[in-house]
Amino acid sequence: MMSKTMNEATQSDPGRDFIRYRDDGDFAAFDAIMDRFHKPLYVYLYRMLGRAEEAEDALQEVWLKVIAQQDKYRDEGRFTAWIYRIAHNHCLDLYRKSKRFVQAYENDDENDSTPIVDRLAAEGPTPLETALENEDMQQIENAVGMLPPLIREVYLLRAVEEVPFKEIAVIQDAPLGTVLSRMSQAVKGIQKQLSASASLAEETA
Amino acid sequence: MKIHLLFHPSGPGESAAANEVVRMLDLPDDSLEKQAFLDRCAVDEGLRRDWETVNRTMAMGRRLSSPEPPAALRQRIAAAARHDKVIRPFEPAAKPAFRVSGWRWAWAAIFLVMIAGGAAEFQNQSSGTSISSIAQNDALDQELLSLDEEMAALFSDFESQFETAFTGTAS
Repeated sequence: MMSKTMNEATQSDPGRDFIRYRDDGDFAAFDAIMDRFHKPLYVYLYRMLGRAEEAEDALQEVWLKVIAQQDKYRDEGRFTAWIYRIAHNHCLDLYRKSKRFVQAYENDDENDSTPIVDRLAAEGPTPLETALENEDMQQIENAVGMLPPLIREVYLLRAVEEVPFKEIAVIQDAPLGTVLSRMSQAVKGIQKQLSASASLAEETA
Repeated sequence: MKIHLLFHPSGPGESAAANEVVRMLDLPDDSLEKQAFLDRCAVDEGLRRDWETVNRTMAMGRRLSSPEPPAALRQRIAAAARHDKVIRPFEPAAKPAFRVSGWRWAWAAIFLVMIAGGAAEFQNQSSGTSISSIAQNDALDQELLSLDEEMAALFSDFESQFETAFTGTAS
């Protein structure tokens, strides 16, 4: 679904569309931008914030910021990074306001030193494979939801939205190496969560 | 029962290797670097497994559910975009213009006043050497000299009168 959206995006340049809307008042161009980004932004915000109501409010706020900050956009071929950066900053604001998330968000990089799951045994299917084979998407959704926000964000942007790592670095205002590290932590974190779920299932069985 | 060691702390070298694996996701399939990496995967069992795990995790992301936002929300946002253009009808993007802020104007004004004051002061100081002031000074000197001569004449006249009055003889 998302890859289809990305393919559509490659056919038209959203940055050019946005400039046509901004400079010429071309509403069709704005509609094209909404076709491209409205749902992906909602899905991103939904996964980052965890609740549909919060995601809806955030989506509206993000679009209003896009409209209000239209003069700040410079046509550098990075519209995707620009719009997701607005969404990223909005999420950061919400995280800061709701104190319960602050620690988790700001301590993401400290998780580097925590023990992480190692390569799984060569024999037999991995928990991920088992989950995929069983179409147990709920386990996978939970595993993604358990990731710390910045790590989850990298995973969602790369795996779901297919945003290149270089643009994610712009969105997160972080070095490329940090983004790559967060991605590998996401992979390992999901594995770890699925392993824990599999162990729990075995114990309860 | 077979026990597998699932957890152990990762070292910096291991993290760098893991970062290299995920970096390959951004490279096109026909790039030489990616081809070399895939060749290494063919001979390195662990690397191959890591690469497969990364790919499977990426595929999993694409299969996550994607909820639909409410249709009314999109209509409201589209209305807001139109309303914005009603308020600012078809304004071209504001190009970065050369603007001077208020405090800069204030500093410029102070600077000009200081320059003007300094120039006036300089003119006053330098007026002592101007031609007109030299002429004025000469006239003043002449006047003082003439006053001096008049005083001397009056004084000698007074002395002669004094001597006449007391001695009865004029000098």
